[in-house]
Amino acid sequence: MIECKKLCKTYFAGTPSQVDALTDVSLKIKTGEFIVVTGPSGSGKSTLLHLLSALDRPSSGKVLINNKDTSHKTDKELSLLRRNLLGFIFQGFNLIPIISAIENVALPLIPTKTNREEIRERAVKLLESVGLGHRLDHKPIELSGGERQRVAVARSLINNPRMVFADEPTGELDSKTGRSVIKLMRDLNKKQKTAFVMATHDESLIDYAKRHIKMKDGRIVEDNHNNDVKGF
Amino acid sequence: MIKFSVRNLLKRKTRSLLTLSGIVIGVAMIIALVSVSEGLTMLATEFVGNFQGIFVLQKDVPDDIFSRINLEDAEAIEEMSGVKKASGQIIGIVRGLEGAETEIGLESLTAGYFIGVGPEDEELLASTYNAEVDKGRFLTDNDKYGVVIGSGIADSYNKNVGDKIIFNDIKWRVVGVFNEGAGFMEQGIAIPLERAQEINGFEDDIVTMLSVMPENPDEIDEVVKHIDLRYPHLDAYTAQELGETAGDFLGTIRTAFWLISIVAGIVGGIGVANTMITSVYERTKEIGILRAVGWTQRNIVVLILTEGLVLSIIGGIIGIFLGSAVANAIAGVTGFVVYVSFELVTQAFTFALTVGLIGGLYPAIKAAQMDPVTALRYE
Repeated sequence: MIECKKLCKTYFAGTPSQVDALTDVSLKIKTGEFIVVTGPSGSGKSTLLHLLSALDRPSSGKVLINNKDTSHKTDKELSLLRRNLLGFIFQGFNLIPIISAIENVALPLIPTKTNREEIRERAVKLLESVGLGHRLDHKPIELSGGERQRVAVARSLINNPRMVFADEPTGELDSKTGRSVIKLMRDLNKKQKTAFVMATHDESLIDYAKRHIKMKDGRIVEDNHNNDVKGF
Repeated sequence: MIKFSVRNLLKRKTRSLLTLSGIVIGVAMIIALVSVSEGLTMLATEFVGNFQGIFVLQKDVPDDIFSRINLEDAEAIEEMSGVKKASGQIIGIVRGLEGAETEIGLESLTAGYFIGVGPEDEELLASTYNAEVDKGRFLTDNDKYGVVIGSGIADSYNKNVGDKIIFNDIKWRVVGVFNEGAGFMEQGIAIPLERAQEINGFEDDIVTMLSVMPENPDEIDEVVKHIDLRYPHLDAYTAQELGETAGDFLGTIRTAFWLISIVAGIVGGIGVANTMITSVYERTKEIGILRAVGWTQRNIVVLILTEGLVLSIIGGIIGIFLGSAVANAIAGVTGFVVYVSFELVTQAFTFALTVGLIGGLYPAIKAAQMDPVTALRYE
């Protein structure tokens, strides 16, 4: 469903501070996969996720979403791809602090023509499914770290995406809370066949994924399928 | 989207209030200043009416209420060849009519004026304003506190011939009521010249204006020239000229008031832009989040502009009411007639919307152009 070919991303090109964040990365991700991307800081995990999720454009190479090259798409077309097909979960939760959990979850659909009642219904359902049915009107500051990340997970799913990218989703959580968020994502992956691509420092999460991609210095150094996925 | 914008504004109360105050002050200033000049213009136009004779005023005064003329001049002018009649009048402001404050509401002109006249001026009022006595009679030499009131005043205060009426701290007796359709005199009151002099604190030989009727209407321009030549301290005008002169002067005031208001508006607009730019920078991360979850650049522009417009609409409405209140206060203190026309309200409101739109446009475009990944990294 998403494929990248010879993907390169260079920052500050042609200057003394040039950084080659990604070099010649080629990859195919199919519907329903659950992938963990590991690697040390600066290995290119976040950059890869940003490029695959149409948040950023590559310096060279191609990203194909549903077999369509995204490199020549306009900003609007990329925004609509994100809105209609993809979801994103960030390390720092990235919730808007002044609005409630339910409003944060509803954010992606506000500019769409979906009617307000339906948006609310979907947001309530999602928050209930991540165990926050009793926290609908709480603001992010009134929620614990784990709860905030659950809100972020719910937000990433409101548009029924085919694929969700999660950049260090457990990075700011203690290990127990982190595990519960991973379990939540894996349950959703199983039930709804939503593909998840998760970048993490935490190598212990590899055992919970069907596929593990290891990165180093902007390149993929390992791409393994795991037949013995650990349960929770 | 509108609901979301309003929520955003409510969540950032201080910033919204600061932005709002810029718009409110600009709009209130337009309403207050321009309504004064519109009131003056309206009064000047109605006052001139369809007078067929010559008005004589003190030279170089902006409005007849500032003019002072000695009645000796009236007598001398009446002796001139080609002049049939010359008489003096005094225009003044009716205050505390029946104990009420001088009140001016939206689209209304209820502050009345009195005109101090002699019994011989009945014909003058009839020819100038079509003001003919409909009920009762005109003033005579025996009427010390007798008045003839306009039909508008008779209706508003339910007054008829024989009733008592109080204004300018004096108890008067209604001896007559003018007909409807009497223009300026519908809201006017004719009072004896001597009382008008007392109210205005004039000597008994001082008036504000002279009305001169030529013997032959075709020679009106000749008579004007003679008066101007012979009395350099006076200015004689035909009704048309007076209207034009007043119009020119009031036009200048109006332009000046608009300019002041526009400067205030520009300052307000810069204020709006400034607070909105700061707000956009503060919300860099939020805008990054919105872009990441699929908001297009256009959605972001619409969001920021909607916020600007919502502030403009609220600021515009508050400004209109505040401006009208200030205009009323000006009227109450100075006795000026102010006129808040529908046109003025529309112009002031359009002005508010323009300020909000222009003030919001730059920050909106800036916000939309942010790179989502960079915006997300912003702390």
